[in-house]
Amino acid sequence: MKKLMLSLSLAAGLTSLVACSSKDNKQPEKEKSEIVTTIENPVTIEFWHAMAGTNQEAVEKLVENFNSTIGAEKNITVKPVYQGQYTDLKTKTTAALKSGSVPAIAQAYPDWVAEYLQSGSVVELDPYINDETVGIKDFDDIIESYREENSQYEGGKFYSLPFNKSTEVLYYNKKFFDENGLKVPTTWDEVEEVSAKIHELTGKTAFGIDAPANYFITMVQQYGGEYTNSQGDILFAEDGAKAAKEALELLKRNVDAGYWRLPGEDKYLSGPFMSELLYMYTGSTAGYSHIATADFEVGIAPMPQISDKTGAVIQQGTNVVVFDQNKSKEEVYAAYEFAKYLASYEGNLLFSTETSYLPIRESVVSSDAYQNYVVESNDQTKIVGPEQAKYYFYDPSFYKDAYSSYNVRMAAEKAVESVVLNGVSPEQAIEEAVNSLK
Amino acid sequence: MESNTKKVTSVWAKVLIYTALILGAVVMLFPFIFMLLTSLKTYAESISVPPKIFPEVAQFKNYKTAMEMAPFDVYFKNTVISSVGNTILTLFVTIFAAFSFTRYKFYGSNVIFTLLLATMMVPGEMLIIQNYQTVSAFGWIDTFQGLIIPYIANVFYIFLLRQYFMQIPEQLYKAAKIDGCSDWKYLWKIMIPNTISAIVTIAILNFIASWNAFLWPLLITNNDKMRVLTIGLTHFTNESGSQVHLQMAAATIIIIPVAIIYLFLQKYIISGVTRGGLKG
Repeated sequence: MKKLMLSLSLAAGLTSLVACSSKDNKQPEKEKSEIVTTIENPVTIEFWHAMAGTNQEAVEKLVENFNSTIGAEKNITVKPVYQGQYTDLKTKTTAALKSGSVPAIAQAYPDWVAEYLQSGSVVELDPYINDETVGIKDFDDIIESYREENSQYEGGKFYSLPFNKSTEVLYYNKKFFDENGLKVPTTWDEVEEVSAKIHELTGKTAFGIDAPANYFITMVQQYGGEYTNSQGDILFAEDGAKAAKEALELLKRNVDAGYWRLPGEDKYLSGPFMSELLYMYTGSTAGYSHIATADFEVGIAPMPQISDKTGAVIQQGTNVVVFDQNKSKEEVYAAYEFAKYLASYEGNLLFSTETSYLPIRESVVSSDAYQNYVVESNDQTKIVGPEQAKYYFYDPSFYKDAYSSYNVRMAAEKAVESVVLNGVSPEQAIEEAVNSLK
Repeated sequence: MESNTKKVTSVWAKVLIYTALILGAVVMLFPFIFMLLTSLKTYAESISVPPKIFPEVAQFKNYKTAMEMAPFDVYFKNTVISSVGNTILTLFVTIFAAFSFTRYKFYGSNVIFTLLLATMMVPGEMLIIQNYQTVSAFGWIDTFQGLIIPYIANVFYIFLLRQYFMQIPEQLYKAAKIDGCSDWKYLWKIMIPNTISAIVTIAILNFIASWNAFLWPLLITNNDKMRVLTIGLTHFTNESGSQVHLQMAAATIIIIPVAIIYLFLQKYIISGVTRGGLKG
């Protein structure tokens, strides 16, 4: 008995070791089969999301609308499940994928999708989108760069549909700019110029960058370089890393002069901006609600550019992805119907007028309902954001054995920070970033 | 004359000691006081730089707004049930395991104990996916079993209590045996009363850990009716910032029960940590 206990506990220890080291190497292999486009017996599917507060209320409204119209007609009930913040949602979805309890549909960033694809449980949506009866007829109405983002995976197939989208803009203290007769910068040369003037006037830091990694990725593009491709090649380090160096030098020069800064312990620049310790910063349109209550008028301008030819503004936010793990064909189709509703004119109009997220359809931007909403809410991010659509780009997502697009992003962020905080030269910071990915 | 100098020195010593203690108390309490004050600020005040210590007008409505962001009453009930349930079961497991490792010399007991200790080297985060797979295979998603059972065996507590049990002299055990005392009775009449401070310490530490647990409860619940308070706290943050003032209001409400329990039981915690062995 005692021996049995010992061997049992040893066996348990060994299996847990094996379980720890075994990697999920399943490759996506899909049997081509006909899709189902009608549902006889009612199905209920879960939608996992990370939308809290007013965003959660908007998600619940979307679900109610869907369930009472399309859902009622097609025998579908969607149940929204809040799964914490984005990182929590990611952890939970990963765990659920391993134990076979993933929902039919969930919010996901493109790099998560690239990772989820390894499990073979992500549904290719092309057969549904192109279907004669249940397809998306006005698919071209969805802003081009969002369509590209959602079909950037192997074979150019759609593994997700766009949902909550944001981009970056330039926030500035309009009262201060007006009082001092300053011109709102549209190019980076002008940002430098105005920053120097503000610094002279106030002795304070003038300009900030809320998301250091976005700065790097965007500026590499603006300087005419490339960041990565979807195969995971580190393009910004190639050909002497010219664009990346220029981007870091611009930053270094201005930080050293005391004109620019990055967020530090304060994490977000909204605090310093509202306390007038900073007069302009580039940040996400989704963050506007945090500064809307400032004591002064907040101005919103397009992201500064190097030149029109290399115009680049990063697009952000998640998409929705459909899973078929342990799901019937009816459930998969139901999930597609909900994803389609989220990306539809009605769904997107509702969501982009109830939250700080931006429209994903041209028709929503130009609709009277949306334009009236912008006037009423006086939220200029809703106009300035979509106006930059021609410059939208996304950072490619990939998942390789050695590193993923997320790792590259982190390396880029570290490069920016080591230039700013540790006085490392741009060349060295880029070299360190590349080495950390080997 | 000499006694006067002594008095003066002792007064100075007291002043020094109390200054140090007051400083220490201020440092320890500051985060809590700041949390309380922030919970009464407006959003602009809560993120202002440099930080404002006091709100201009106390915003008591923050508490109401915060409580409306999520079903905190349900979360509160669930947190109490899972923390109390988990603590009681943890105590049972800990006491019996520690007793058997102290009193019974069975074949391989040292090996098993070493193996158990070795598991302390494995970070809990690494096991969370495996535990999730197991628990979801049991069908325990959205149940109290799922919330409670996976965390009722804590090697550190077993180790701690075993050390306490080992300090009770062998002679006591033999004497009790001669008097016809069973192991069961010996455990309850001698072992536990003599190590009660350690047991209370374990109970409190476990209760606090269980009250504050976040990732596990989030993983194994999907239904709002089964969720706990810490999940409620995430409702105030999105990717571009936090509603700090509301979050602090909710945090204040959440820590009140733990603070009260700690206040009443602190003498046990302190004695449990500082007390070395057995008297007499």
